[in-house]
Amino acid sequence: MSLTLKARYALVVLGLTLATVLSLSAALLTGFGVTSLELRNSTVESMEQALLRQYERRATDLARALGTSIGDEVYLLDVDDIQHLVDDLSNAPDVSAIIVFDTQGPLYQVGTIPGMTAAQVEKHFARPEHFADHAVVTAFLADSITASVPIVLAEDIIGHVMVNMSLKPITRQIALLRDEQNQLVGDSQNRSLWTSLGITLTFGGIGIVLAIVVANRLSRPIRLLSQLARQIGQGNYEMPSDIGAGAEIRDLVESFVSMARDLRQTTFSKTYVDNILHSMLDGLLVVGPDGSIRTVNAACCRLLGYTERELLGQPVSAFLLAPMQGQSPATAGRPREGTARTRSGGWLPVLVSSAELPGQPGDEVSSVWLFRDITRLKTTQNALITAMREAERANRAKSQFLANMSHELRTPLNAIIGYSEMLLEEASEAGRSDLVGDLRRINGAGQHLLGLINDVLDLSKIEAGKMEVTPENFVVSSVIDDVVATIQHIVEDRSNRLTVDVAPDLQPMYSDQLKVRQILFNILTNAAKFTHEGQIRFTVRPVKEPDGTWIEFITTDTGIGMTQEQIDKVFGEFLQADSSTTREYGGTGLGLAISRRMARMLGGDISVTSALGEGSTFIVRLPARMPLISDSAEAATGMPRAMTPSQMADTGRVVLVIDGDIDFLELTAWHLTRWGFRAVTASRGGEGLRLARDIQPFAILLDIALGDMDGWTVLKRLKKDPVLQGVPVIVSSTIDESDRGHSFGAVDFMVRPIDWTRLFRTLADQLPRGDGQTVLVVDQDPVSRNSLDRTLTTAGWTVAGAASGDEGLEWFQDHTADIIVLDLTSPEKEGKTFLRAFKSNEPTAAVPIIVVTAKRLSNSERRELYRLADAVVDKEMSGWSEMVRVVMSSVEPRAPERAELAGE
Amino acid sequence: MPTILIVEDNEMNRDMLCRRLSRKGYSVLVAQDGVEGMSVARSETPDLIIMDLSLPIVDGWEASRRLKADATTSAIPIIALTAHAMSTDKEKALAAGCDDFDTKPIDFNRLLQKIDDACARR
Repeated sequence: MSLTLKARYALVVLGLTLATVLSLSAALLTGFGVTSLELRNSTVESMEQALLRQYERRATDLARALGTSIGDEVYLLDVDDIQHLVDDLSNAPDVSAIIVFDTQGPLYQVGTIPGMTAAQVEKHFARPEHFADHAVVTAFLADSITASVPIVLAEDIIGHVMVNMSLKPITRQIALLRDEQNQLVGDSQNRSLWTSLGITLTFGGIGIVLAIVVANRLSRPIRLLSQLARQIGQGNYEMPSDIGAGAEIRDLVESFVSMARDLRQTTFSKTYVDNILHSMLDGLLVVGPDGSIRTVNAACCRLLGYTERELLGQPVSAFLLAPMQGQSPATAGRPREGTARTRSGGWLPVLVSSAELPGQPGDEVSSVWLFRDITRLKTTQNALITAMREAERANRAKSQFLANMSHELRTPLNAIIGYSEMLLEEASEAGRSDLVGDLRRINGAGQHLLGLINDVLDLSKIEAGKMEVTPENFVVSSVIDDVVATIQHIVEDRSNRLTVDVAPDLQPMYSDQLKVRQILFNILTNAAKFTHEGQIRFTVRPVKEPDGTWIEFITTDTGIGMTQEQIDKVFGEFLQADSSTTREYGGTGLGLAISRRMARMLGGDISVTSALGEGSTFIVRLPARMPLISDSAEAATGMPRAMTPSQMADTGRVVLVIDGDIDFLELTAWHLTRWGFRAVTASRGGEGLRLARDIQPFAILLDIALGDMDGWTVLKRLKKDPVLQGVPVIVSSTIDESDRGHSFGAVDFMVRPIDWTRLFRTLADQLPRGDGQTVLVVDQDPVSRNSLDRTLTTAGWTVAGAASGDEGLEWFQDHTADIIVLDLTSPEKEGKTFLRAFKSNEPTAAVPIIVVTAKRLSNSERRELYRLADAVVDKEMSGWSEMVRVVMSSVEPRAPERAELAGE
Repeated sequence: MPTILIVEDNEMNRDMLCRRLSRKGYSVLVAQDGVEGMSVARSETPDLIIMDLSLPIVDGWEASRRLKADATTSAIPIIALTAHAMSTDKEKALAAGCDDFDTKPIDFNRLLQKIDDACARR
């Protein structure tokens, strides 16, 4: 039954009050009733007794009086007197019968005893024992009292008198009395009932009021609390300042209020967070430890096309695929690309990031996933990739075109220049001076065309980042002498005067001599070409700056000069100051553009000041010591270095090449890569030492002539380093100092030019040795078998050869090998048959097999081969040296090598 | 005068170089590809070989390598010629065993100088 608390309180209080009042009233009434009844009974009884005793006395008195007075008559048997006496007496009120007995029986009787026959009376009263005593005997018979008194005469009992009195008047009186008493008792009982009722009602009323008041007072804080709760439910967190209740209730309300405040905070922040989550554009999921979805936001539902109800409890993997592969702990938090499956069955490219959700310790970990639709990004990215590939292809095509063009143009040019020179000689010798001029023009045009081609090629090389810088130490003055001698005839042709002023304290330069030469030649040619009958001053001087020594080459002419507009364009491509100048002065218009770019590659620049008609001043400013190739090459081309050392160290055996000669570095790297090594290069000793510590190479190839320190210092430092002292170092130098090299701990010393075969052998010697283990080479081609044989033998292996699989199996009947190299150049099926034969043949089953193939393998073919073979080497991709590496590594602890090979 | 073998597939270049060198008094032998070049070099053992690098059948690098590996021809100086002015061409030529290197179009006087130097070193 649902009653309000207030009603219950009221009912309880009311019930208690009523029960108390009722029980009190009942007790009172009962007590009163019993008492009044007892009172009434005792009163009526005592009055009845008194009346009866009164009647008994009267009867006794009558009988006694009669008995005393009639003794003689009885003795005398004087009946008449007796009769007379008795009759008088019998008129007394209430006397119903008087009987006189002598010893023989009744003598006289008046009246009757009600309810008794004469016989009964005689039998009952006329018995002798009645006379034996003088006592009065009384007896109550029905509605009458009988007193029997002996008649004594001379102390003898001669009879007795019996008086019977009717008790009817008493009975009537008693009945009246009883009625009166009952009336009395009934009245008082009624009165007390009404009193009780009044009291009950009064107390009941008071109880009701009390109950209501108490209930009200008791339920008020509860009502208040419920009101507060309702209010909070509606989002109103204002608390009443006045609570007005007892201490306990106040405490309760206060804690309720503080709880409500906390709740408000929580609710507020929850609402806040909910709002954030649902207004996010990224999909959000909370995934439980079992991989099921626990929470989703609106964006998640929208992106996936499912309702929240449909998503909750489902495995996240059914909707979101975001492979963790390739994620190391360091990159675990980074967003990764994945796909989301939408309701329509489509796949959405998404960027997924996930993080562990902090929980209670010991709980299994839930995670929060955030994903973003990257369709547009992907589309753009794909478009970009396509565009980039297109651009790369176009660029490659352009480079290829330029290379081809330069080749294709040079070949006929070769003929034009060559034949015209030849004819010039012949014509001069034959005295045909009429032909000489024409032939000279043909030759000149050819030379011009060659210059154009060279310039275009140079520029395209610079643009493609393929222009190589080869720094070396050289004496500046000798370069200047050469250049000046070369342009002398142009200066003279234009009737100019050239003065050269070279500072005497010029130190040798460390730069790309050819490029310096080309720049200076270009600038001086220009000065000579654009000046007629004027002065050209060429000044070279060192300039000391905080960042090192610079060398300035200043060319001042008194030529045609340039306007500011022309100056702004003078270093542009194909832009001479004025297109008309091309016709007048010749040239490609590329010279200054190339020169400036070259100057920048060397770490310097070219600047110009000029005024129209007053000549120009070009200042070429170059560092006396060219900065590191890596910096300058990057600066000039914007091309980043291909790989970081740590990336390189990941695969293959790394050989660190420290060499001052950039061309040599490139060439060595080319050879090393062909042999299956990874090359890391450094052009300076300091850089080399740093790289050595970073990558801990397999071997180091060290030049003695380094820019910053000499190779011996590097070698000494390497040998002192506890980590690097075991790394084999091969020293190369132009001077034979092999004794010194060996004494410093180098494994080999090579005099330049490098004998590459010897270098390979030396490196191969450093590889883990075969220690006389046997390798069986199965290869149809005796030439390739021999070359492998030679190399493996050098590396300490015992090599056996077989021209076919059958021959190989035969060989195994009385030999054994540690490894088999199988060339699959033979028809594919045959090769696989051999592989199976080797693997099912008892003595060869456990021998590792390396398959060498020149055939381009599809992925499925490769997979199939990997099932049968222990390693597959692609001859074309890897070269035979890779095979050597694989053979050598196959007898090392195998697990890591297998992993590496499988990854390749 | 020394005998010079010109290995060059371009007919004009071969003819021109042949005539110009003959005019300078050299005895000139010609070959049109790497294989012919090697066979002439082995049979005639010239005093010098001018080897174009882009040759059909066997290219100039490979031909040079094989000539330098062959005892009968290893002593003959080889001047490599290429229209590609890339420095790797040069390095690769030197790595293949060539003694000198020149780029096309030929600066005839420079080539004559290199021929003189090579013959003198021998």
